[in-house]
Amino acid sequence: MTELLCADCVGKSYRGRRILSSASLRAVPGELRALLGRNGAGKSTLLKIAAGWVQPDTGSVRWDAETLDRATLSSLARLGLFYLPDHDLLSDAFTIRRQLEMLMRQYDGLEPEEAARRTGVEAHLDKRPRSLSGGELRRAELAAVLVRRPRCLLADEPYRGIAPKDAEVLTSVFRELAESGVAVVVTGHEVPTLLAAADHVTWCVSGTTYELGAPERASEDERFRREYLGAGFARAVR
Amino acid sequence: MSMLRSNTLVVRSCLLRGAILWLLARTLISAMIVAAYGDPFAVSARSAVIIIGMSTALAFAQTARLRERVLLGNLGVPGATLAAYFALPALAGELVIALLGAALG
Repeated sequence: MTELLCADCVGKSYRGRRILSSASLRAVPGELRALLGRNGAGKSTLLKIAAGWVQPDTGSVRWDAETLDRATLSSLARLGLFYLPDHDLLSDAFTIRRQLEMLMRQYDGLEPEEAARRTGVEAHLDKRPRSLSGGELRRAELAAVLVRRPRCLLADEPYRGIAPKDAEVLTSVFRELAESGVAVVVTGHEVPTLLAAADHVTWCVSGTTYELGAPERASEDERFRREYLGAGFARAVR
Repeated sequence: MSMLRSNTLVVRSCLLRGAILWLLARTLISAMIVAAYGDPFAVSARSAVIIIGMSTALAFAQTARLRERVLLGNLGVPGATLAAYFALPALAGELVIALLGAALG
């Protein structure tokens, strides 16, 4: 297991409130990793730190085993990272097509039409993001990922507020990316979906993280079941 | 500068935003100068720098309002490059105005 991206033992406080004390996140090529945890546990903060969007108070970010002095999203993006935030990625100032073309030209990526076809948004290419539904918007953002062809994808709560049909598309693209060698990390609260899709589970709790391993193993972890999944949780296995 | 060569779509969009916001800021400031019986073409170098800074800040605010910072980050555009793209039209505009002012006496 050689990680491509690693946020190692990071700590972060906001206005005196400690969000993360010593949390780690690893993105491994060919693996889809699920980062789970309650609201406010620090999942998004950890993902933002790994993406270079937020600077940690302590700890470090490594890319390809090289520690980066001050990792920023733009520097990591040039190395091959794509960060899908929990809020809208695409701008309302341009059409979807224009934004996909920007990515294609920057990275010599996949044709926007091809990416849009694979995510089912080819009919919306000439629309602006504000005219799309939540699910369509997520699929358009996924098209941006496909155009970019990243080496590592960090997706923050991509399943939030979308229909099961859109969630299926998301899962299938995440799996496809992982199987093609991309290091994928996804956060969210859609536990059955994420456990069914993931290769590895990381649990974020009390400002730290635990590597629980494969979903089957994770769902048998007593503390994870007791404190996060709940007693009545039906095991979701692939 | 490789960014300038590699992605004309991004550069053009940033330059256009910088130009529009500089024009807006310059028009407002010029109107205020005229209202105070001043010459809008004869601003000091210090004032010109302030106008360039203001329009660059406005362009950043607009980018934040439209939530484009993550997209630009994913496009590999660092903040300093973005600031340069936003400031360039304002700088060019102020230079043109200064030259016009000098030519008109």
